[in-house]
Amino acid sequence: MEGRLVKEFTKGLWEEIPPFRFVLGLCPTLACTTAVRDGIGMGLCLTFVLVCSNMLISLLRKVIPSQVRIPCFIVVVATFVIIVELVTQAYFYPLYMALGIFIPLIVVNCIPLGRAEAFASKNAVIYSLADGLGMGLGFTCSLTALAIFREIFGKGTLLYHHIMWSGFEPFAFLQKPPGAFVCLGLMLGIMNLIGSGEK
Amino acid sequence: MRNILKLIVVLTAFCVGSAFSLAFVRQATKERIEYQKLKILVAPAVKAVFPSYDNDPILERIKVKLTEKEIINVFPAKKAGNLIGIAYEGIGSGHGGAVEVLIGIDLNGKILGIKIVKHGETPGIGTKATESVEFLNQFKGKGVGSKLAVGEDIEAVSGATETSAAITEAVRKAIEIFPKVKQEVG
Amino acid sequence: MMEQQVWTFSDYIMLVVSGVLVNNILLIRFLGNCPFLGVSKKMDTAVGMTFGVIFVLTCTGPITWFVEHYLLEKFDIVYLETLAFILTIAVFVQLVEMAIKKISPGLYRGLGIYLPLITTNCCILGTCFYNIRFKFGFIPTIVFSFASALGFGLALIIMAGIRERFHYARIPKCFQDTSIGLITAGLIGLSFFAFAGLAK
Repeated sequence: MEGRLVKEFTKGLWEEIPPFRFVLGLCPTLACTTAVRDGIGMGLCLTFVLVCSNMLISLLRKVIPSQVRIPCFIVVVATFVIIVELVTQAYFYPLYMALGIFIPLIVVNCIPLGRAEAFASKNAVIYSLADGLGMGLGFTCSLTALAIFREIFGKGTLLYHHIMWSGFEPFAFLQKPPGAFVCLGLMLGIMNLIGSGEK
Repeated sequence: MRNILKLIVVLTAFCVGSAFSLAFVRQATKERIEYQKLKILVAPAVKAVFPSYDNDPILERIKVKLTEKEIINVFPAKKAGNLIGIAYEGIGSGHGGAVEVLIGIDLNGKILGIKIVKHGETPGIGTKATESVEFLNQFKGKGVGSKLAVGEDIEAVSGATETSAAITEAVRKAIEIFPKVKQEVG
Repeated sequence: MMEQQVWTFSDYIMLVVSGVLVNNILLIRFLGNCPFLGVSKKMDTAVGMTFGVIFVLTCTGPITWFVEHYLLEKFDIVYLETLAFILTIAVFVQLVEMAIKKISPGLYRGLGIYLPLITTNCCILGTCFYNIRFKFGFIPTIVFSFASALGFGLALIIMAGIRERFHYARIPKCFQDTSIGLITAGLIGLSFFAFAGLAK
């Protein structure tokens, strides 16, 4: 049981890491990574929703009839998304303003609904917790990595502090939407390269 | 039949559970969210209308009921725990819609300063009045008992008479309700 | 942005241009990426998805507008926006799927399978949110929803056209599939930047 718990947790951190290996949750990956603070914030919001919804759905998996499982999942995920939305609005207002509509969009993010359908509805609560935590943290790491690259080279700052030398011309392309796509694509390619090298 | 009943019961249970938890979280965060929104909106104005203070007027805001439907936020400024002045909004109708003015008033009814919070005036024309430090400073020192009318004790900005009148109207309306507000604030 | 009271015809044209080209919902606003990469591998799946999105979005945009203004605002439960909208969209798509299955099995075969996928498409929910954020009236909501869907379809079809040609290109193994797809999307988006001066 111990081994399985660890396995469910770690798979979300490398082998099945979203959005690189599990191509899910692309929209926030591209939109919320212009700054490291936003990337971490978005990742943690999604992790919260994922862990809570995974656990609740797993807890109630014997009670939810199969025909209405999708609406039930949607209600559960949406409830946690609204909770996250209200809490960020109350305590982290600058982050809330930066992430904009992408916080409520977590509800249609393939990750919570996908894991609910594929895992939480079929596994015990403790494993669902591990799965949610692993995937969520993996997602947060991916977002942070992308955001670090985009913020340092695209703006010259890290967590809104200037860290590059004064003559540095920021590579503004990285901050714009096309730059996000290209950056993510390159990172995915490099990850695949590393991944195939391991085999 | 029993199957469909079960589906309906489960779905309803989910919706009810969701509604309750959300209503709870909403109540818990309502005050704080309002504080955050107000901070972004009026914090610079509150800073501008009081000469000095050492508390957080927005955090300590008081809701004053003017009529059944109208409730306004009053921001108290304090120094060493003592109330030195209050700020609240007055609204006048300008060329491009409502002109919202934050007015800082001391406890004797004298205006300490005013600042435009929101307006829809034409840039370059109406904004000559909203941004004119000279024009806005005219209001300092006036208060309860002043006429507050353009042409009499307030000089309009030439070329922006409508906006100047709107700002004056906003200040006048605010002064008019000062006795009631002071009473509620205590 | 676009908080106007009176809309002239040219304003609507600008709205369409903005939605389709300048602020393309997919390439610039980042909505709708998940199905984008999955469905753009072949032209016919891309076209099917495009029609599905155009239909669903043009209908749900106004419907969610009604929900917001006549239901949520009336009862001061605007914070339930996320829940209300996603349920509205899910119910709508479910009803449409059942209707198409009954009315035209042929259409269902071509279009129906995309409908559940469209429910979780961020592009639909995202545009419904934008309609509210931008404070659009009823007619601008319909126009903007339609324009966004059109933009989505445009990006999708361009992408499918290019990806079909990847069969003939020699791409390094680690970049195949998703990776090159993303890079291509970025370069297409870059070309859309050329439209930036057309509308605000």
